Amino acid sequence: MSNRTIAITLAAAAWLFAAGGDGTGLSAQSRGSVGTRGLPGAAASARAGSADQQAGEDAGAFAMTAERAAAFARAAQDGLNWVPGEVLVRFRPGVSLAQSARALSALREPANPRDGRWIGDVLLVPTPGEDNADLAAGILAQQPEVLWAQPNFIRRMQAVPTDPGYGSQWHLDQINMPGAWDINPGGKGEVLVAVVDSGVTEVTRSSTFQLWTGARFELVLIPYAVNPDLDQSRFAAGRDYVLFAAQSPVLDMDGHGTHVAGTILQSTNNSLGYAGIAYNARLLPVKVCAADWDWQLIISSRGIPGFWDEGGSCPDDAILAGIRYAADQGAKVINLSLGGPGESPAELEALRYAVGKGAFVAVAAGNDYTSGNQVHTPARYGRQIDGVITVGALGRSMTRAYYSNTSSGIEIAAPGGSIRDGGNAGLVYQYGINEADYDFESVVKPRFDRYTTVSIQGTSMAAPHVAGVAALLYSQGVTNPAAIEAAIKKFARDLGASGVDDEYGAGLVDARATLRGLGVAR
Amino acid sequence: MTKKLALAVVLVLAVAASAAAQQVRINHNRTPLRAEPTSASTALAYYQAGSALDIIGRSEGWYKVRDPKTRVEGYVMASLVDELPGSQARTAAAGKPPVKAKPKTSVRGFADLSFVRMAASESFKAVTDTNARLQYGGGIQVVNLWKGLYAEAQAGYSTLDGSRVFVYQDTVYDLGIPVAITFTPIDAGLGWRFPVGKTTHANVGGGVSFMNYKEESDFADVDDGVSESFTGFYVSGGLEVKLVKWLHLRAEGRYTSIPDALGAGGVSADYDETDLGGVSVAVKLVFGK
Repeated sequence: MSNRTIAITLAAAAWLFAAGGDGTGLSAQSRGSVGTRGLPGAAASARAGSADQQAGEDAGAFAMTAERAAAFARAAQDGLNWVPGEVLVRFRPGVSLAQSARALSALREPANPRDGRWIGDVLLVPTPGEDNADLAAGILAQQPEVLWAQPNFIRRMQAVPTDPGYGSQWHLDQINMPGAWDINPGGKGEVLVAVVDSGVTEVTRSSTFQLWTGARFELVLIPYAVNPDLDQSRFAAGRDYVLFAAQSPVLDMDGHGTHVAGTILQSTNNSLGYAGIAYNARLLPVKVCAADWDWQLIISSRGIPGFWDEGGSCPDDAILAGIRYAADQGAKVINLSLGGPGESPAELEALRYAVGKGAFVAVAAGNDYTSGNQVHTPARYGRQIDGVITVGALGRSMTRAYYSNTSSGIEIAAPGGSIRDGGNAGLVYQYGINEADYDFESVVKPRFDRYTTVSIQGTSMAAPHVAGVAALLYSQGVTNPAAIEAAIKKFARDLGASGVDDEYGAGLVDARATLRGLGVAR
Repeated sequence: MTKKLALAVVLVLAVAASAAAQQVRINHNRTPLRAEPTSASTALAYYQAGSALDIIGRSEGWYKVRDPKTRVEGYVMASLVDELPGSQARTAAAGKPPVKAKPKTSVRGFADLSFVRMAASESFKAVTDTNARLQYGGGIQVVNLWKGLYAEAQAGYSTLDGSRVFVYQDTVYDLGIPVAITFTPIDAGLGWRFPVGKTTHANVGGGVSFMNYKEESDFADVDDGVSESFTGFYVSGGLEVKLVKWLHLRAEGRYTSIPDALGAGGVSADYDETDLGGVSVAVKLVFGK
């Protein structure tokens, strides 16, 4: 990145604010048609007539406003784990709008609840006079009308990208999948699995975006394609909470969500790519994490020169909304391969909401063991909620991966891969977006339509193994999220210290044993 | 288990002790008591109808008897006497004291159908949706070994079908994997049999119970199946009614305990149920005298 990056400056952000509107900067955009899941902010394809591109697509608004983009950039530059100038507030039951306004008036520059956005019972409200969201949340939390207030935390995806070679899916053998598939070959289509992540591309088309190419802006045709190893008929209508407006299709410009989804339910026995665990289940892609290219599209579309240099991020408000959306859509399993430090009542409530709706949730424990090993959120809530399970990562030799967090919050272990445990062969393999096509360090005009072998390591990769097993178990009739968690723990293979421990929790998930259950005597 | 077994033995012996020797009652006046089991033999004494003599043996068509008063022993023709049920003969005739008789040892066979309610009730109900089973079987019985003492051996066979499950907070989740369970019990023991009416006998008994338990399911690896044998004990009691000369109908209750057969794995560990025995009610058709 350093050889080509011009970091966004606050001055540029200020210029961006001045541009106003949605700042797409694309005169060729059409705003005419509504109702199809087009790519907002994208111009019509330049290659009319091509089957894999979108022509005459409507161009709705980016979900991300210029102000928020600048706030995220500032958060990244300042190393903040929350969005400056935003808080999430939950008022006490029965508090009126006027009372909530009184509570918000406690800030240096009173915030108006009408300026906020309700996500269930939680209000995401800008605090224009107070950039320090930690401070603002602290002030609001002391108001009698407020049940809790917290910063709008920014979570990170829990994968550690590497440069893999080809290998085999040792990780599926490790959790005894061949035997599990004998019992339950791929689960059932009525089980909906939500991947709340960087998205999983759900359309095949090309769209033109204005992009900064190093010296100038260009209209660049960016092709997207559905993973050929993810049967499109198994997609439910997804939702994007960070990049595009509600009616837009979900696009993965990171590969993380695609890899995670692949582990859970990649098509299997189709002579292509790799296997997934619950390969008959349906996928609900929910985009709550914006990757480098997401941000790049946002800033370039607003005419801001330069390259995004702040990495990906997953704001709490999007996570909160994404979890609730998944639960409301009937997802029975939700995978959260993301996290970060800081308590979040909002995420806790969202998780409880999801479990209350009958969804089992698998959460990545975090990859910070070698850099402080601090407890992550939402992983910290696994122990508090029956039906939410926190997953640590194992390497190929069935020992804890070097990066995998340890704490009393670890509930189960699953293969997450480790480059230090078998080299490239020790990573987790799925069929994903060709990384070379969108490598942010070297590519100016990315494409997201070619798929190949992708191997990654991380607790992000461990959690979907558990989510996949949960989907299979659900399809066998265990529909209570708490029961699913209990079963996965009960049949786990004990590792490390005898019984539950801080490294492995209950042990390595054993898919076959879990799906097979118990007879009278054995 | 030792205590329970001892209790069962004591119970059997106590009932046995309450039983007494059998007698015949003379049903013709001037019935001779002969020295040998033949009509040509010397008559040692004559008895009036209603007199009771103790049975001390049986010979073809003859009872070997003893006059309880004079202690004289001899033979009476079976057609001239009735064998008395119960432990004490009634002195129907004045001056004729009760006598005891020794029944003849014989071997009988039987077939039975049992309804078994299993001790590991919750475990079997979770997997098979029932805590009871029907058991078919049969065996042999040697009666009158000594007074009313009998020995018995029987084998049974019973199967149950179900599904493997996961149990969470009293909710049973059926995982849809078929399970076939086979019970093959073999019991051997002793008991006491005594008349309680003209054609009715009661019996109590107890002994050792061997149970071969097999549990098979789909998608099983070599080590996943269960086929093990366990040892326990049983106590039983019942009533037997003579239907015709060689056929009897017996109703029997039985308590079987086979401890520590379950509870190491499966849902029986969840429910902390360890006993493979249970309580059963059986109907038996007995062939023989």
